[in-house]
Amino acid sequence: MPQPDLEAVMAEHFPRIHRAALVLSGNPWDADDLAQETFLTFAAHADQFEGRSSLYTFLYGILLNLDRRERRRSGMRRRKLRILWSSEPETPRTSAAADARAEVTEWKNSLWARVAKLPDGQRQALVLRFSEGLRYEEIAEVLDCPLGTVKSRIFHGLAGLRRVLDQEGEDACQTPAFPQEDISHAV
Amino acid sequence: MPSDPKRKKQTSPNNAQTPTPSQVDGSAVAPANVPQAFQPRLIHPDPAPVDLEGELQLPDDFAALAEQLQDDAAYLTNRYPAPLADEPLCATAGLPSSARSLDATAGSSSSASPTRRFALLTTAAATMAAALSIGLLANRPAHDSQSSVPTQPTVGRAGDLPTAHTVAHQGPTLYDLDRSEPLLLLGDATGPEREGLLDLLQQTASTETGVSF
Repeated sequence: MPQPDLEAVMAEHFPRIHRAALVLSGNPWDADDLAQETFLTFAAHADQFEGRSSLYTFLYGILLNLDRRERRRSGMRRRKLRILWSSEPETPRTSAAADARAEVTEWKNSLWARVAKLPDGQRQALVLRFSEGLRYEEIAEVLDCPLGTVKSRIFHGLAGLRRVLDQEGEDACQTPAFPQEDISHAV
Repeated sequence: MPSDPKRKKQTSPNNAQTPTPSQVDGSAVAPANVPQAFQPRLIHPDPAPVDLEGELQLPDDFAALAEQLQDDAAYLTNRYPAPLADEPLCATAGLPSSARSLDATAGSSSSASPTRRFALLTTAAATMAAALSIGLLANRPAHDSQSSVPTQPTVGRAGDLPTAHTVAHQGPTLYDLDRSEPLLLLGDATGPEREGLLDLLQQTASTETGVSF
């Protein structure tokens, strides 16, 4: 099978891969890296693409693998830092912690930040369905799982998202708006 | 004080068991610590509700969430669009222009890729080191009031160190002599990129070098 031109592939598919990477990573810088790494990986392993599926589903598969690997690495880094910090005396921090992820405000305020708390399978299914607009069959192809599993993951992902939002609502109700303020004199 | 049932079970395992038929007969006694067969109870999630055509049936609140997810994704995409395609990936990644064809990159074996990348990085670092050395040589007379090259044009006031960016936009200096790589690259490089280049320089430079900004 003749190999496609990388420039042409990028021109056609880079925006959609970047969009998915942005939703997954939460900031445009990591999204740039993820998207570019996706195409570099594709260039190196293009011979594995047999043309039985769409090219973009192949690219989405690479992207999700890279994202999973990156999350695993950052999780490992965070655990190591936490172990280091646990031996240090507790001091109040005035800046973001070293293990804090870079996330833009727009993403943090969006539902996708809540989706990031879901298990990998549900998170990826929701991204492919509602950000990328793929059909269930295409998602099954990307995730390499049966069609019923895709529907189940989407349904339970939305249910999990509902629970996360409910929990946030409960937490917000339980936290007083001004915890330090003494209003006893007003009573 | 409440008794610990687990502890009680450990101390007298045979008391809690009902006698097997063979024990009742007295013909044979089963060993006390026979491993239990591993029979995990797999809990499968409930299947998603689908209609007769196999389409997923979402409740109203789930449908609203799905719609909100689509809107959020569209907003994020508009807010942070993908970089323009006029900067090719090969240039960004430091690959040669021949890598633009997949025949050139994907056709090579995977074991040759790291070697090739290392060679490219080494070449880039050596070029950068040469450019920096020339830059340092060019800067030295500018700081020395007793300059041995009286005809050299000044690149700035004393104490006002020129950056690579400003020097590149000024008149002809020693930078222009035998320069294979424009120093303008350094001026345009972001902080992390400069840091990476300096790391490469430290790793690959055979002689001790210095860098000034």
